[in-house]
Amino acid sequence: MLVIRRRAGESILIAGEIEVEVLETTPTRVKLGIRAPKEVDVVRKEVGLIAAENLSAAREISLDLLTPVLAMLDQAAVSQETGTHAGNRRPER
Amino acid sequence: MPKCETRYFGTIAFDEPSVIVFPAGLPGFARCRRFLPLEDPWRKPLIFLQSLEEPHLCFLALPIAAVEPAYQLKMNADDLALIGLERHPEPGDQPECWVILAVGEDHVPSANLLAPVVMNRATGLAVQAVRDDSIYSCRHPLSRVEVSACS
Repeated sequence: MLVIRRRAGESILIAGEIEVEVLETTPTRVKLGIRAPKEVDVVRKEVGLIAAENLSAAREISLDLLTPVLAMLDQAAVSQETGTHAGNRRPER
Repeated sequence: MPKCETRYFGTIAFDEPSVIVFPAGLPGFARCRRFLPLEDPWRKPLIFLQSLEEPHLCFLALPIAAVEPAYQLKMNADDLALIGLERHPEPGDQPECWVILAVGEDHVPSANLLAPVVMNRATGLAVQAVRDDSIYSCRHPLSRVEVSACS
């Protein structure tokens, strides 16, 4: 990994066209400003991870696989709401 | 009444006020902004987040409280502004919060607790609020819920 030391107000340049400027620093955070061409997608790293998770979540899911989980959650919700055991279904929304 | 094609329910009619809008889309699906939350009385408390732009795209989700009753929501300022919330929701505010489900290769269903979908009921705007800490997993196995709910 390339390591560069910068102060607030200083920048680095990537591939001649992407500029990352250190706008502000605090003991726990760094505020960055990024200037990049429109076609360059800039996201926080964790957002990139979630994009991969969403693609996986969008694939076909067998509803039958969820049935046992749903039955258990519904029972738990009903007994919490009514104080009684499962059997009473919640009203339709 | 407008109609839409859905992945699980064929063609259905819906009313415009029930549409929720993700102004920034969802990560990986930036162009999908309009979704319809659907319920199936036989599959409660499952939420079908049906895309109105892509009939084949329908996320399966659960209310966050059903999966992790003690979940502590944490949103950043950008996400709050995006859906028109002026301040961070307090535990009593109960904004609509869902977690998106996935099924891994091991066939175990999991919930993405790292990035819940938060909807502002007042504006109908929603965001998938990706946390910047790592307290929660993006693949929280739902079999673990079974253990805690039964104890």
